Amino acid sequence: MWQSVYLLLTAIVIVASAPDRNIALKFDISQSHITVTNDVKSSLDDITPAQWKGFVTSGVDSINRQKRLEDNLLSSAITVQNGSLSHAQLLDTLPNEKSKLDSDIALKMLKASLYIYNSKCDPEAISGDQCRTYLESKPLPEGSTLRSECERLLNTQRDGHHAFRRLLPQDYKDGFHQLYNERDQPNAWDISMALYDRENEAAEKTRSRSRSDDSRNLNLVLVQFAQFVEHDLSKTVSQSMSSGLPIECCNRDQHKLQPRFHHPFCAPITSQDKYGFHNCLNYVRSALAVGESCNFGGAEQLNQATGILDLSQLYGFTDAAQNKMRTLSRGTLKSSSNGNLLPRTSDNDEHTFCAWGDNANATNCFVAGDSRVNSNPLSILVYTIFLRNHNRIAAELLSRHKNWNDEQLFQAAKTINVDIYRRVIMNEWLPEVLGANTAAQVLNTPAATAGQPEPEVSNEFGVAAIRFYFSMLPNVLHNLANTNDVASNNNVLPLTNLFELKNEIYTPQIQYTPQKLNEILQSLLHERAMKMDASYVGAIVWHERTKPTHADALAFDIQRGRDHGLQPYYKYLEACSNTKKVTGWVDFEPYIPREILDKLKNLYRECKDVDLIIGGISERIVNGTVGPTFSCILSEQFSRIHQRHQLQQTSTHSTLLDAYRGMNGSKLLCLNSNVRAVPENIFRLQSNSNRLVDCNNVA
Amino acid sequence: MRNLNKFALAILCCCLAALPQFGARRLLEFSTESPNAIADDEFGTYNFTSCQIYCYGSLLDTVQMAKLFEDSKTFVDMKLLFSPQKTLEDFDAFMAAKNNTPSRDEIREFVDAHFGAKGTELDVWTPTDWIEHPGFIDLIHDPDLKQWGVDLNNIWKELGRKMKDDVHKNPDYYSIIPVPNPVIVPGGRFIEFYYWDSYWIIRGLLHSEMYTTARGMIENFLSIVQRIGFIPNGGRVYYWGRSQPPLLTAMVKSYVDFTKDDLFAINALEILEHEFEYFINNNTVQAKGHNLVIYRDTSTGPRPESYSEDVETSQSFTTKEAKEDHYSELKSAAESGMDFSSRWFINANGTNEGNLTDAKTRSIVPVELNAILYWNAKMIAEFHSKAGNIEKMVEYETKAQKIQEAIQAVLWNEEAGCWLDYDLINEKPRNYFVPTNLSPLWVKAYNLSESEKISASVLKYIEANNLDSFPGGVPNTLYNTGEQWDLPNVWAPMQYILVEGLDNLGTPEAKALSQRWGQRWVKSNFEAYRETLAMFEKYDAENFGGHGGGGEYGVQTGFGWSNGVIIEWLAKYGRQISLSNTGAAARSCRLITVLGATAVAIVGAFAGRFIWRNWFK
Repeated sequence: MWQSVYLLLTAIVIVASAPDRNIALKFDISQSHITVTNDVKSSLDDITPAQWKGFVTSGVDSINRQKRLEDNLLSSAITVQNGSLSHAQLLDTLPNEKSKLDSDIALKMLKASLYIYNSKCDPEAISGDQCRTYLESKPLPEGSTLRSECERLLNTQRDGHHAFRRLLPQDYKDGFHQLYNERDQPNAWDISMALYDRENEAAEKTRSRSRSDDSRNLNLVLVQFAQFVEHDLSKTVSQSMSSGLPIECCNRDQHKLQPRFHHPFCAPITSQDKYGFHNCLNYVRSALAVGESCNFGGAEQLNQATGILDLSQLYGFTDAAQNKMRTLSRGTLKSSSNGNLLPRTSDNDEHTFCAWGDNANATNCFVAGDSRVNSNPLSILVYTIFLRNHNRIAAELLSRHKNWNDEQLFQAAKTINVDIYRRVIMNEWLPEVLGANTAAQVLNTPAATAGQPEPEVSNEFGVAAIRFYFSMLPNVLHNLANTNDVASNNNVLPLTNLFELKNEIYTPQIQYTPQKLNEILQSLLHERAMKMDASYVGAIVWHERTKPTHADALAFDIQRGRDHGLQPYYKYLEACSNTKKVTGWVDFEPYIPREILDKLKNLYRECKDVDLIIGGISERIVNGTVGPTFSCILSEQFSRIHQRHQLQQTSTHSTLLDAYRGMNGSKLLCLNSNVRAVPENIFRLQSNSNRLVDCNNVA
Repeated sequence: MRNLNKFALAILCCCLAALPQFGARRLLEFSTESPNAIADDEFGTYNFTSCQIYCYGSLLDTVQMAKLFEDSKTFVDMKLLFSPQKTLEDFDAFMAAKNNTPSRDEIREFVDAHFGAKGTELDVWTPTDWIEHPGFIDLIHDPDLKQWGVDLNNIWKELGRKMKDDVHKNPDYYSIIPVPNPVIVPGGRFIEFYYWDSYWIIRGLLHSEMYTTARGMIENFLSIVQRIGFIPNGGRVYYWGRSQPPLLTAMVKSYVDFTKDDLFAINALEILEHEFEYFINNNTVQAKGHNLVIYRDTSTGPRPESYSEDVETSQSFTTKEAKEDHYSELKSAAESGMDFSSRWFINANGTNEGNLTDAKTRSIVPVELNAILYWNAKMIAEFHSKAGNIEKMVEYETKAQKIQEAIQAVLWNEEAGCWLDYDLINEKPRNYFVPTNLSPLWVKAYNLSESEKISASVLKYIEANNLDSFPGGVPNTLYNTGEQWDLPNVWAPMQYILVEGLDNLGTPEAKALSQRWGQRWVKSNFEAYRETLAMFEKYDAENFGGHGGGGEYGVQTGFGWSNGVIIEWLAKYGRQISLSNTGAAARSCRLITVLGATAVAIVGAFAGRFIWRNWFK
């Protein structure tokens, strides 16, 4: 009943807001604005120039002093070992050199700000939020080395290492970067374990498909494209040691390290076993970025990705990365298996793409513009489709423009490939995720005015809302490759699996051939997605209090949301629905099903503590694939992206692009694989309303 | 010598049954292995029956290397269910049955069958002389700090421990060293008394007017010296080879200062002298032709309470001798109370860079140990003078004089403008900041007529090291190594030494800095308490109101010496200090005043964030 009321309200909002261009997508941040009081101002205005400089010196010294500790960690071999659990996680969050430099400067600025907070604010009972807000308008002292380093950074090309945008201001214990402790918030792993649904997992094993969402016929291609979009738009990366080496926060037994080996950037995910030992999963706090100016202030996380849909996950976003992917001949990208598969790693970059141990006899490891390409067989498939598409277009262009050189062919093929990708995402995928109405509103967003600062990806989008797809992943991919040949829509699943997900995460074990990728693609198209909800399958969470042998994606997301200082769920619920003041659990009832709400009440001390990711995945789906809060965050982000896309559309290749306007999702899959037929809507199972398209008829 | 030790130990094990429990017998001859050692000791290393279980041997090695518990100290604090002899027999049979390679689960079963829970030998004890409203509370002006003083006074009741009667009847079954009187323990994993911690605890008790408890603790130590010849690091048999900075005489002096009971000191003189001579005889080395003392240890093997940790760091040494030397360096660092710190590292280049494998504690002349021994000699002389023993007084004045000369000649560094530890290997001063570099100020181990000059020089040293820039107190060193006695950790006893030392110096500049640091410490500790309702073992120099970390165990709460120092300084600064209210609009009411006593505070700790966030944000 509540749901229908909500739907009605949503409808009213949408209708009522029609005259305003994008009011349904508006995010209300008015309540979160912080004003610095006069008392605080006058107290902090007394800080002398010499003191400002002293604080910067102290901050820089403090970071430089960590080198001693890091030397000790390295001499005790406390760093990420090849083939470890932490290695796989590192590949998910692998920083590049520019990010490390940016983060180092940002960290020193943060540490200087913390010295001010600890010397001038906290002792005077000035709150962290007040103090931070005051400092955000204070530039680093003139003449300091840190200031010139920062300015140099701001004047360089910053593609791929901007700070995430924040929809709401930081929420940290000290207002700057400090995590709340376990007395303040329930442990991340405990939350993940409590939400794990044993009964459903058992049901899935007996193949009764109890958790799938029968009402909506979504398939796994939708899920996999969500991950592909995430890889394009958002990549948080871990902080590193000053030497550039990765940080490890757990010991070899996946237990907590001795405190002496605890790096200040560590915030490991732990859970106590029956003997009192703490099982441990690595979590290194995310790299920081300098914001828009060289001012003091709180932590802002770095996004090592570009804020538009540009296939940077395939091509890379720097010239150097891109050149690594190119053959530099005929405009093509490197590949293997006669152009059918992604290129493979060489000996020297294997450990930056796959989590194989040093002695593993592994042959499978693919290269792309992003270290996350090998995160699972499904991601390998999608990257491969767009690689093939690029090379197919380049060949077509060459046959029509024999005199074009490599650069011309490459740029044109890339532009067309990106354009096709954008249309599939914005016109086909987005309506499935947000529902047709909201997606239409996103696409109604007018172009941004040229010259305005380009809006970056929001922190809330990158580490919470876009992560919704994890709950829709299954433990195994069944082999449904022959589904086209037999009568479909039966509920009897075949007995063979293509792979078990937990074995394949950053360790591609199955033998990749063009035929294998076809099977995976067919199976993706015909495998029903699991429901977007608060229970994740055992392949991606670790739900026992025993030594983990793989990671826990949900615990990781909870921890990362806290690391990034995201406000609790209720704040976003308020900001998105724009009308309500949340005062108690009862206010969640219209959005979260009762049985989940009961679990949350047991886990959290109060409703205002619920993490954004947990609230988001717990919500009832409205229309589309997600609940209202994630829908709000996602649509806000895609409107911004759409604004930026429109600015770019006066490109030199417009006539070329016109020639490919007819491309859509089904053609994309047909032309870049050997499947015989695909559903018209590639994100849904075939049905009477979603018929198969014969690939032979696609041109 | 090492072989001799082994041999002696073997004999010891055979004859233990025949020995009276606390016979204070000399069991082995000891001489330090340092090439600079001059003392051929006349005191021995002593042993307890339960040491076969808890101090060394195959059972200890097997159980500790199986890492059954997250904290290695857990096992050695567990009670025996059978006699040591039967336990060892069972263990031998167990090992034989398992082909000497039992599994971890089998070892756990053996431990479960032969050991009871840890810490069961002690009962929580409410001090009988505890009073609700000691006079120091009235000296505090600020209402929140006043309430905090009340809370801290309450915490004594949580830290009081009395040994069960069974400990006195069956001491063989426990690792605890029996003492006659109840004690105040530091707290957290430190569930027994500790030697140097007790100095600051006792000063706190004296300010809380708990004279009987304070006296009881001092009498325990006196009885231990009588029985064993020295005071071990803490109240467990496995601390058998190491002491801690010798502050027993200073405890007696504090007690006498508060109670005017000179007779107590006079009666203790023989024991105090004995302890003083023990250190001089066992710990003396020569540097630049002067006698000075170092930290050292007389036991063999890894630290029982951190056994597997020590075995792990010893992996970088190949020979048995080198490993044993390494263990000795670690245990000597434990004797200093500063375990561990870059302060004890000497690498091949003669600098303090490195890690635990570079520990060379026995080759470093520590400023504070010499200063404390000077102080002990002065106090013993003073007590003798009160007793009218002029000869003895002169004798100890002369000893003090000698030590002061050695400190001046070897440890004072004109260039740095401060005292510095001395590196015996490279024969050079160690110019690294440690609060103890200023410890001669605390015990007045310098020429008082030069106060002006020393003040100017020391203040320059402080400025050069930027020590005033840390919002959470002066860090223990300026080197972040991950060890708990390094940056950024700040420790109450070290703040005490600095602040009281600068105060003693007496110049207006030194007094002003002393007061600023003292009050900063009080406010920062209060902020941590306001947030967590806990007192910590160590704090964080960079973080106002933050607690420390690092080392080999998690940060502990309680906490004896932190409470002692704060109580003393609430009494000292109480009339001047008040909490700021610049941001009062943002943090409008203060929890302590509202919540009141500890009982309520504990409830508050559970309500935790709910209360704090809503009241203060």
